[in-house]
Amino acid sequence: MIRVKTLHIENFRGIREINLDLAGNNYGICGPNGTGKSGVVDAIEFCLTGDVTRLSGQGTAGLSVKNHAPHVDQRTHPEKANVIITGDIPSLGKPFTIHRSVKNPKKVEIKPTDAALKDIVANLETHPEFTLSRREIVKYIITPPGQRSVDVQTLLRLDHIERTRKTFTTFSNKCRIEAEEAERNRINAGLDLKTALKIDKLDRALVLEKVNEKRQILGLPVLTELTKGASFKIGVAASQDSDKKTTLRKVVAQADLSALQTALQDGEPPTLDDNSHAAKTVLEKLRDDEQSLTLARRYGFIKMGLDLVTEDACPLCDTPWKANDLREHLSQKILSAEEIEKLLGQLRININTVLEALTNRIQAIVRVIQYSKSLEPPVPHTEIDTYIKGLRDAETALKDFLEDHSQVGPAITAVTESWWFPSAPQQARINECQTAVNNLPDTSTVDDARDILSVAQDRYERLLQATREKKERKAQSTIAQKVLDHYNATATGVLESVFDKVAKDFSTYYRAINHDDEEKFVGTLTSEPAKLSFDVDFYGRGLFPPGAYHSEGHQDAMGLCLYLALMKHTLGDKFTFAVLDDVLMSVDTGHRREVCRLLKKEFPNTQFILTTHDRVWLQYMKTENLISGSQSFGGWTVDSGPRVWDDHDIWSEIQNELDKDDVAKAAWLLRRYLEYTSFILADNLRARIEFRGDGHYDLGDLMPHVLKRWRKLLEDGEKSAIKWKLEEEKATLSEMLVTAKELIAKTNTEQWAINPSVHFNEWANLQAHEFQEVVDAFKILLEHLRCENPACMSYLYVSPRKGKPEELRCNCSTTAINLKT
Amino acid sequence: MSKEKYQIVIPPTVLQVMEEFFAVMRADPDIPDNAISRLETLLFKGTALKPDDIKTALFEPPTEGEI
Repeated sequence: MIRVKTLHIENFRGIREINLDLAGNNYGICGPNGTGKSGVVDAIEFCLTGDVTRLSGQGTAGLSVKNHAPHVDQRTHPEKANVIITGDIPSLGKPFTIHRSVKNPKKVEIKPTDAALKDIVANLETHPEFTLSRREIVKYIITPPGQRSVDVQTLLRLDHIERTRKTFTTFSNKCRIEAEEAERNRINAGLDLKTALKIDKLDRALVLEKVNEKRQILGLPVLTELTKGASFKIGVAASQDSDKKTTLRKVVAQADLSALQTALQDGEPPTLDDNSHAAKTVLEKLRDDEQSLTLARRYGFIKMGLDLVTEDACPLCDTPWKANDLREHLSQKILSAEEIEKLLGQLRININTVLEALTNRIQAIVRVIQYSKSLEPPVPHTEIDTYIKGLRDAETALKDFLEDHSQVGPAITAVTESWWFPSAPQQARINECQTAVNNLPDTSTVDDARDILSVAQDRYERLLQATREKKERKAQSTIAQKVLDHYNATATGVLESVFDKVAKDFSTYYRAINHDDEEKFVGTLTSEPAKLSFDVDFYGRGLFPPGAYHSEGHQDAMGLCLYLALMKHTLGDKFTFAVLDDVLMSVDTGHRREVCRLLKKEFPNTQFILTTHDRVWLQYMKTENLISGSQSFGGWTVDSGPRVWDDHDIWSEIQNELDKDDVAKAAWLLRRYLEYTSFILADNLRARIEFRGDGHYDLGDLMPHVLKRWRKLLEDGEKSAIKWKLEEEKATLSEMLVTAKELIAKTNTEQWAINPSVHFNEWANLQAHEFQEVVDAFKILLEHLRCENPACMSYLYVSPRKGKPEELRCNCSTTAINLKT
Repeated sequence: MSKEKYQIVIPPTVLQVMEEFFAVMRADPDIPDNAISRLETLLFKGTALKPDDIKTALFEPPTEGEI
């Protein structure tokens, strides 16, 4: 991963042109909603990935990077929308420059041209999770377990494991299907041999007995054993055999046709009927479940529907339902994964039994057609062709279902429609064929014996081949299943261990933020097939989903903690960069410092870019030394983009306006800046501000109370120094107090309420030289409220944040005024 | 198998799964060692896995000189 030093954005989203100097350090961006913060985040994401999630993710139909990433006034000039990032790669120790233009988002210019740099950018392109917005936090916290599994696996870059698992599953299923088919072929080959030899069971001794019976008729020596290479025809003159190289040998054809007619007359075997019915029942159940899943889009939707059934109506379409009936109806539509697995296992057995019978029948009918063609004159077989087409369609439908369980409809037809009995015209053709075969000239016993041996030999060899095939396929299927089982067990074990570690880190981080009231907090991640459950402790009352009882603020904190734990595990020491876009908007103020400390302590080598609309939050980041640089946006216009608000520039900006004699503009700037600053100071000093429900405080609401509080704190510090007999401190504080009173008096703040002519509302009406005095007074006053150390310069703040004030201090501890008396 | 060669493209957890998986496979006397080696080569390539590739690796090694 990378560290960003500078960022240049031009004509991108709401930004005209901006340059940020991050210096490779943590950086804060603050501004009210709609001032361009997210434009910066989008620009970073775009430069590093070529994409903008906000324009291409879920719910962004009609939006595109090409059309909507350029500034609105440059929408037809994407070449003018550019982002350039400079930085370095800590692991490589190399500086880089990355430039991307909206004109060609997929093309990135990386300097220097280095394969390792290219790899890192390519990696960022496929995994843009270094940016985290609040919307994305939600997906880790409150999404259904199935979706969370996908999201977390993507973040952990574990999708490769899932893809491999799926491929092994497909492969194993394929091997099992091939083994089942090989078994059916072996059974049918055996049946054919039995038919040719007119035996009831496939027994070596019986086969040998029948073969030797025919050989004796031919005056040939008997075979002593039935080996794999046994030749039933050994001794039969080749010329005699070759003369009979025909598909029609009367005695064998009679046997085949007789076996078929017997099967037809006996009717459908009960086992076939039972299996067909059982298969049909399960297939229909699956079809109904699939329909319900399709309607509901996903399982979670139905489950949510179940939770939402509170009245006697469908929660979605308001169709009247009795609540209990609707619950029952929805419950029936959900087949659990275990139930489906069990059903499919039984279904495979049922379907294989049906397929076995179908394959046997197809073979028998193929012979009828061969015999019909071989007869002289040939027997018409159009009707039989139709019959066999139906049989083959049924066979294909069932095989297709075994390979792809979504092919339910044709499979139901295959097990529902009766194929055992041919239609009357089809049966008539079979009869006609049989009659024609029977009417063939009688053959001698010797000829019959020779014919039977010849056909039996072919069928025996086919049986041997089918048996070998079956054994091979069975062995392959066993190995494929083992490979799958080993992979599943290994992956599950490793993932459980990963999720345990992630959950442990998550719990540690969350406890660090909420140590005051949830120091025993734990969270668990439980991996199950295709889902990842996430449960968290709720004040020792048990484990629940995060959204069950915890507040939104706590959920935000959980989202951040889970994200950090996942990133730590995924990238380890390569987790060097992250953009957190307003992710902690609802975390309460009492826990924000802890968030800053967490990021600093646990991720000292990660560069965070944090955006917030909350000035106080930004101030916390500064006072906790989380960020060393920041940029505030004080407004936005479509023409100029974000109004950059900089601590260091504001005074020179005000002075510029005064030099141009634009007092109104200068007054506006000063007022806005003082509002921004007094908001922070009010929080730092724990000033007593009159509460406003709408949260809108103007300068008059804040500044007088801030300054009053400042004086009071200095007085308290002086009293404390007196109590502890610290003469030097007392003298310093007395001096500070005098200075404070003088500086505050110069700003006329205390006069605002009683003298309208000095009120800030009137600043715009002052002469330039008059307003210059106001500006100077506030500038010096604000310096007075800061730490004197030039390396710190932080505004002082009261510690602790709650309870009795104990200390007035700065970030660097140069200033630490004891308030305890 | 040189793991270093593939560390850039194969995330550590995936690598861990693969290493443990092949250790379990090697401990299984029913699975031939040469088949395991071929499957290992296939998986460490890091490319999209296909059922036919697995079949070739496990059961149908190309014979010498086969086109």
